[in-house]
Amino acid sequence: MDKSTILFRQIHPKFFKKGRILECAFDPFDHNDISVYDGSKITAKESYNHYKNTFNLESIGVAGLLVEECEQTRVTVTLAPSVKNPAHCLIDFSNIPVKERRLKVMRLCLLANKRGLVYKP
Amino acid sequence: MTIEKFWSPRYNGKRFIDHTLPIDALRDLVALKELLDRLAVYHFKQQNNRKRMPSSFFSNFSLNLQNVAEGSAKPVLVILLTSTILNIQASPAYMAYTAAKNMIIKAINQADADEQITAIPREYLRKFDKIGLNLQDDEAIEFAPNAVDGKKAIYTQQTRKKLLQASSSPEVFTKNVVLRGQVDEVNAKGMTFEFSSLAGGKISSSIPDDFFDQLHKELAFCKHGGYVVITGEARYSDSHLETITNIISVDELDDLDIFVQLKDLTELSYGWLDGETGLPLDKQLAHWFEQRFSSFFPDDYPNPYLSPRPNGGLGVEWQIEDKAISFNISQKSNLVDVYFVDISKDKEDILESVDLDTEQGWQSIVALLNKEGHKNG
Repeated sequence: MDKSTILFRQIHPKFFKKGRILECAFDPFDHNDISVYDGSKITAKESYNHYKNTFNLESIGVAGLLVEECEQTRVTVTLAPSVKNPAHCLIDFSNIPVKERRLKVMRLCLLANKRGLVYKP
Repeated sequence: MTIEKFWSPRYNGKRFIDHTLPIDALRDLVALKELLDRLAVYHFKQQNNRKRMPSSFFSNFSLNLQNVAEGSAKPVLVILLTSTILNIQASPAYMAYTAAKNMIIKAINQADADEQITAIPREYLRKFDKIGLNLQDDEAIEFAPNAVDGKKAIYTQQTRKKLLQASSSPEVFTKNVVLRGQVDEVNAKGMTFEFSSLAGGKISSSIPDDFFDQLHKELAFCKHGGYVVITGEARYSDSHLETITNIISVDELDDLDIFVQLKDLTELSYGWLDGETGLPLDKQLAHWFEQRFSSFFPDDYPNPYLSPRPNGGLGVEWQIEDKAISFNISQKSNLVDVYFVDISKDKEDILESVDLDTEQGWQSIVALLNKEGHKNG
């Protein structure tokens, strides 16, 4: 993927407070990856509408991370298109030791917060 | 004017070691005077088998605070008799007040020793509700500091509670409170307001004149989802909050107030994350964290952002610009790994096995916040 491509992450309302995106928004929890949208195929607003309408899930807005920022954090970005979501990508933490994943999540969160929400309905 | 030294209660505690007495303590003395008056009248009537007091009993007679003695905060109560009577100690009023003082000392000693309280009729014991209201847990008033028998009549919040429990309405007591919640209604006509406490319960209380405008403003704030904290005094009945009896301050709570954040997270519905996954924050865990945080985390540092974990745990994090400090809490352990990241300096660190049950554990988090410039101001 192009390093300059922006990836869109939907932010759950409980992971956004006083204008800050919280770490949990980028935490894979019990999984190895988190889902994002490929910004070269969809806009932030379209990704928000797609998420709400297709999956019927809550989002308070959309955060953005560059592929380059993910690579600098040493997490992998992979294309994972599906019928329901052709713009689907994954930020993959599986090559990071479990104990260090939190540090990567924190870095991604701080990077996203530098940009702020790229779309807020 | 004839002056007779009457009583020298001694205040013990850190707040009193610099030879001063908090203004609050004067309220103790006012309440003590009321109790002395009542018991003196009771004693006089009992001793003299009278139903009415002689009109001259209280005239030219007053209890005055002379000073706070050097060496400790020791308010010396002095009875001043402004009549021409030379022998004060022989006056009926003096004898009645002395008896009243001894009744109070004996009752406190009985309470302190967990004995049945017989020194004062139970209908007068409610007066202790206003005496020592502001005493902290590590403070006491010695009402007989120089007692030859060593029974110093040590009065603490525990003693106060025992005396009130022995009173004719043992279930009612007043205490200092810090109440978080929402103003639901302000009634201008009756000068009352409705308040829903975060700890549970909706109460109606009178509005002090000087708080009407502010409570009206806070009503609008709360209608938009805000919370306030009321500092003052409240009356409890059977351990249930009954009404706020005095307001010292009303302040709007920050969105990051720990109580408000925890309440929000414990009220999440099952499946809050995606309809299937996501437990509400465990209430016991929330209570445990709130207790530790209130005890060990200093007020002058910013509150953390709290977020729910899908497993019912809690995410705790501080974020300022390019820096973050965070840890997760689960039901399984009081030990947490604390993570630190600064993306501007490309720094990261992990403090392992920090014990949140200890002050030392929290101090290590505070030290990290301090080092990384997260302190307020």
